[in-house]
Amino acid sequence: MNIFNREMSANLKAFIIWSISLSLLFLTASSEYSVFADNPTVADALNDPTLLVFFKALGVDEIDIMSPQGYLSIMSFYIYLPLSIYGALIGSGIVSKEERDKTAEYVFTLPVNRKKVLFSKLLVALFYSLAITLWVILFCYWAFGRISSSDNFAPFMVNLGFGVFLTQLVFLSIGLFLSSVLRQYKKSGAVTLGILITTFMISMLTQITDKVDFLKYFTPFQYFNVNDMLSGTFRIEFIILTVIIVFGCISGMFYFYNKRDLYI
Amino acid sequence: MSIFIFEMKGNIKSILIWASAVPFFLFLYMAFFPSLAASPDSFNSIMEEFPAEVMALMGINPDLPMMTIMGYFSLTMSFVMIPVAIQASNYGFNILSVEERELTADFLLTKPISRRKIYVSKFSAAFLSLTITNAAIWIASLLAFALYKGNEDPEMFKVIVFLSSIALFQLFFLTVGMLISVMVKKVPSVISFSMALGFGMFIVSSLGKMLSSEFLDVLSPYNHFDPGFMLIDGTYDLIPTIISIIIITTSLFASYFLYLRRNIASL
Repeated sequence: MNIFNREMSANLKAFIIWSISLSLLFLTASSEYSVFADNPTVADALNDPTLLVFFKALGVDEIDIMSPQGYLSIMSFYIYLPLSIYGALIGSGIVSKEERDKTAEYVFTLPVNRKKVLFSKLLVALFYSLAITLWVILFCYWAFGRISSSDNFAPFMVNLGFGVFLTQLVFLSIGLFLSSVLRQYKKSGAVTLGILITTFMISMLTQITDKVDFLKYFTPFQYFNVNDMLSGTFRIEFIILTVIIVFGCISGMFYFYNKRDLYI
Repeated sequence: MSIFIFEMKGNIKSILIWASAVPFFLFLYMAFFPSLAASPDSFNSIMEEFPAEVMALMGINPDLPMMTIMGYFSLTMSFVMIPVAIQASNYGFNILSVEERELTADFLLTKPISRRKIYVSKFSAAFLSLTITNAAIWIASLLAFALYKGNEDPEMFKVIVFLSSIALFQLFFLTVGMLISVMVKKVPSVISFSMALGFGMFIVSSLGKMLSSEFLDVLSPYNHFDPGFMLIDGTYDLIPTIISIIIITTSLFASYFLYLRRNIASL
């Protein structure tokens, strides 16, 4: 419990900075939405039947951009990307920071076994990921919901919350796993970051062209992509894949960290 | 000189990874251009009837249709600039803070060389490393144009003007990173700082574009050297470029003086 408390307070500052800056981001975006939502030019253009082809090509043919969920779905990468970064950073940092700050000797000579230290750290990481997702979802629900409301908005936000949290969980567990497997503690952050950028760019590519749909399996950003969240479909193969990655990585961390030769 | 060589040696692995991964992605993106360009022209004509707000929301520039190689290249570059920025800010946050973090500051700073010399060697080593990535991007872009342009006749001059701005773009992140790293007491983790700067600026810029807000535009270097603008006009956007240069020089000098006076934690 002591380790848990210690980690909670150590990560609190970052959490506060992240939630404040993300809130500001969504506040700005929602204030623009208020202008957009009353704009008759845009509304006319959206009702023009000749443009349906165009929407189909962009994959937004079934989205009503004027509704809050439609608008939010188009700018959804502002939610997915920062929260995944947060997950990746907390996952790769929370264990490896002991070696980086030269406190590994201290914490691992305490009369608790490594498993317990790891377990407390894991709980803290999960707690903060869940907390930031909840905060962002609730904040967006308020910020966009105050401008215009629609029946589907609340269920969409719930779906989005689950989707974002699961995406975040994938990066969190990859970070945890790498920080216990890689021999150099410095590498874990860099490699996790590399994976995140790579998969983000792959995800962008799958949105530009539909010729590379198989690549979706390689990028967590597409496992619970926003179009699926809008229609409320959680595809079973991606859920299985997520569960495999998350459980595999976390049990891998417990297994490998137990034998780890600590860098002191 | 020996510090410079030591730094370069330490950077070799990271240079190799960045300088091969970034051009690889550029190429991967460009490789999909021929198949996209083969699809109908109706796409372009439809886009002309579209209100600017909706286009901006979707990140499409009406003057630079995505179906031409220039338009597609500008779209590609807007993503490729993210890893470039992260590499530059990684080096920026790292070079002046690494000695303190790894407790080697005592060793380095008691050597009979001035801090000025340490600063200059570290900065030039980082800049050279970034230039290698830059060169790799030049080669990859020019090669991609040569391979995929099909029967279009892109204005290569504009492409070259745009590519020449990458160096300034990298310098922005490098120097701002250096300045922040000497302003704070400690840089516990380079990655979290450089992620925040690199991705944060990207988000600020794309938000600024979407909201067409002047203030956000001025803030982010992604907009100072906007591929959309530079590939249409073939020139630098003067005022943002000047802002960038001012930021670069002030951060360079400020970080230099702060580093000279820094109270460096020792063992």
